[in-house]
Amino acid sequence: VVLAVVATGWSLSTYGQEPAGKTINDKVFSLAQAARGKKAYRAHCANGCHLVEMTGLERTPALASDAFMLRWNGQTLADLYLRMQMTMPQTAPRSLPDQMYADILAYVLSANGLPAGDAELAPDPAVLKTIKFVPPPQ
Amino acid sequence: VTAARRSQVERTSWHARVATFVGAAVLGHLLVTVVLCGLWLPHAAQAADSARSEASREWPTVGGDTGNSRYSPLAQINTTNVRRLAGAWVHEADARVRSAPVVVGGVVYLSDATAVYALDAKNGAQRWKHIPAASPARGGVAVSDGRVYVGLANAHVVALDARTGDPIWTGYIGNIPAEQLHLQGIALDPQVPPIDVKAGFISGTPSCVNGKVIVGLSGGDAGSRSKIAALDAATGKLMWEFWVAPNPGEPGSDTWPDDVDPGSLGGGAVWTHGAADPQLGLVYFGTGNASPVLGGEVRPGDNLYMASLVALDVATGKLRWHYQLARHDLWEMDIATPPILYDFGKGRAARKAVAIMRPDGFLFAFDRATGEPLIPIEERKVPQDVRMHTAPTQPFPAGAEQFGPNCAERELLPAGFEPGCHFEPLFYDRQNVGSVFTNTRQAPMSFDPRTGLFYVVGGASPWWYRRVANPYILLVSHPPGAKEYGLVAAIDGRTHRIVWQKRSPWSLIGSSGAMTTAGGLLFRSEGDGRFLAFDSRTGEQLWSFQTGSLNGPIVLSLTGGAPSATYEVEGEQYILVPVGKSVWAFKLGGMLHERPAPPTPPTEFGFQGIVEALGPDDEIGIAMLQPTRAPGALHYVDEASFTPVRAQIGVGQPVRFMNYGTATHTIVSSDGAWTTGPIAPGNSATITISKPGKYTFAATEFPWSKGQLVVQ
Repeated sequence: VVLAVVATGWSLSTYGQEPAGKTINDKVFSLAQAARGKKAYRAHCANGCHLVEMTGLERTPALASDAFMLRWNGQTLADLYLRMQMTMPQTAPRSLPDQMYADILAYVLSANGLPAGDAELAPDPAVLKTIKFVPPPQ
Repeated sequence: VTAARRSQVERTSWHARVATFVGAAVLGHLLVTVVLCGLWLPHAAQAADSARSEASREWPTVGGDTGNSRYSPLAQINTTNVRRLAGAWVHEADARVRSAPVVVGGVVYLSDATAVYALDAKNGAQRWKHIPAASPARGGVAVSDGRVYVGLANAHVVALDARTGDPIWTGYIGNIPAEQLHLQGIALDPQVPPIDVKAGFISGTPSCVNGKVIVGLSGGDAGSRSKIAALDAATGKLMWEFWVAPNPGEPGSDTWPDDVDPGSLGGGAVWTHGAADPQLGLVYFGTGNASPVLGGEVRPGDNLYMASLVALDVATGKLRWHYQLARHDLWEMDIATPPILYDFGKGRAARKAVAIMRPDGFLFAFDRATGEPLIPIEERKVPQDVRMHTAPTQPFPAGAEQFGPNCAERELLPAGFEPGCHFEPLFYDRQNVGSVFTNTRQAPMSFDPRTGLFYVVGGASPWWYRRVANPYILLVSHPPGAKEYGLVAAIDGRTHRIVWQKRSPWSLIGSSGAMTTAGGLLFRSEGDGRFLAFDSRTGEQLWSFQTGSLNGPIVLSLTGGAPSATYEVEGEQYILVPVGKSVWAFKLGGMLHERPAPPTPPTEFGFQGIVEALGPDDEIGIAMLQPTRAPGALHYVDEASFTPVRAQIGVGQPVRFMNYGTATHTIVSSDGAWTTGPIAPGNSATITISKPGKYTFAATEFPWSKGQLVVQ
């Protein structure tokens, strides 16, 4: 039974029968949202941990880096959003408003050189689940 | 129940347990190390496998025992049958698990960045999950006397009921009043740090010994004053603190300048758990690098007790002995691989020893009662820089072999970088140095008492440390294009010479480390998601299992991971390891098969740092270094730098390069697609790029310092 479920899951994703989704390259956030996220990031994430330049420290990963994009490759924005919410800031996880987590997520995408557009990232895992991390276009 | 009543109840239960154990001892039962916050009992060291106690069939601390040997006498799984090892169960945690598991009473206890979990050791079923107010420490939990102790990112320690996960007490070891921590999450002005980093945080696992819960405070790199603190196991009350930087006038303060309060500089973070000898009543901890990290000019002297091994009296916190492994640290010499307690030599001549690893790959051994070196230590001259007040010599274990390279190999470095070596000071007049700052750190070692071999896991990963005139500011990254590799070695416990050594494509610095068993096996994780078993005598790989998950990122690469454990339940031996979010248990003939491999991690570093979207008024500064690009941050003229290093523009959008330096610079795209032509000091040049893509650029005068332009 377990094997059958796994096999179904694979064939679904393989043959693209999931709802048509977007990728992080599809202008999924706006510059205004990234700017709000920048302010929140500097207040809650940069100080002594991920750093203003997002290069990280010994125990904190770089958030703007090729390695970071590879680490999330294939997952969805909901995975990263929920991960941020559950674990950050480490001294008080879940303590920021949902909108602020979404704004910080927009800023992280923008800091990795992804394109901005008119849309905003919604603080809603169901919506974020439809947006996938993919390798950057060459 | 009042605190007083509760503590009375605890004392009563301890007395009951003492009676039980003493009775058992009188009856002649052999006991291997008994790990209790409440008491210690003499143990039959090196007990024969046939007389194993309950403790040795499980994994009672993150280090396997109070001495962190990460060795198990279990031998059901061994070199002849390990090929039949397969998944018994897998439990998915909420987030990536970085902690080592503990197995006590048939229950697995571990933590991720969100919660503490108790899982049935036989089938992985979740018994309970506790979500604390802040993230559990990376190191994991301690279990003793029916309680689970865990340190948190907000410098609190929580004691939980091991049966239910219910909190029993909350203690605090931070450096600012606990109530001030709640200011966070309110301030949004970037000029006002909402989190006071001076509070510090807990990174390691508590040690439970003789009625105390002993744990270190991290945060020294951000200016927090580091300490090792003991809480009363019954109540959580703070019993003593050992300050890594001494108070003025106290012993060790004479190794700092007269006009500097050592504690005001931070440094000395305690990153990992200690080792405990309940009989001697001592705990052993490694301490972290001095601060400011590269700014040696503000702290002439040896700077005790930074980068040291300290032996503290469990009862009082008083320093019994210490050994500083790096004097006047300028190399981020965190002593952050857990120390191992073991017998040096065999039989009646055996000495009770403690081994400690220095990040440059030299293993030191001391008599753990007195601090006397068991491998003689010799002083060697090291490179000097009078501006940085380098110590003239550094200690080295005589005859020992270094694990990993002493200098970055040229083939690891992008063109134009110079290999940096251990104990070589860096200054701002030499900016193109790729240094191997640490060959091994964090990833725990193992010691196999049968063979007398230490097992060390690490590698080589070039770092790009740059500093400016301001001694408090540094930049840390990996040079884009740098390569890394991993290493595993078996080291002779008497001579500290390497018996065998194997290379891995991915750095194993900060990885799962090593675990050995009486089955003749060495276990470790691999950077590509596999978990591996080796013949511990030869290093020959015997078994591999693809978990389908990637570990890390711990440093800047993707190869970090959680340490493993092994235990026996109902006559079956299990091997346990968290990889990513998945907690895997393996047994002989297990029914769970390998998962599809995740994308193979790169072995070469790319760019790091924010890609700055350039507006019409923005520019790329040449010869300008802005270490913290926050409002009001200072700029530094550094001929070989760009600000920003990574920028993004639209197709056809003009981009201006401004030369803030003192020499003429010519910026060229590495694919030859465009150039600015020569730009004189104080002048600028504007270019327009019509083809979208990612362009790497550099100045012809310092071609090793790369920038990146993303054109969309």
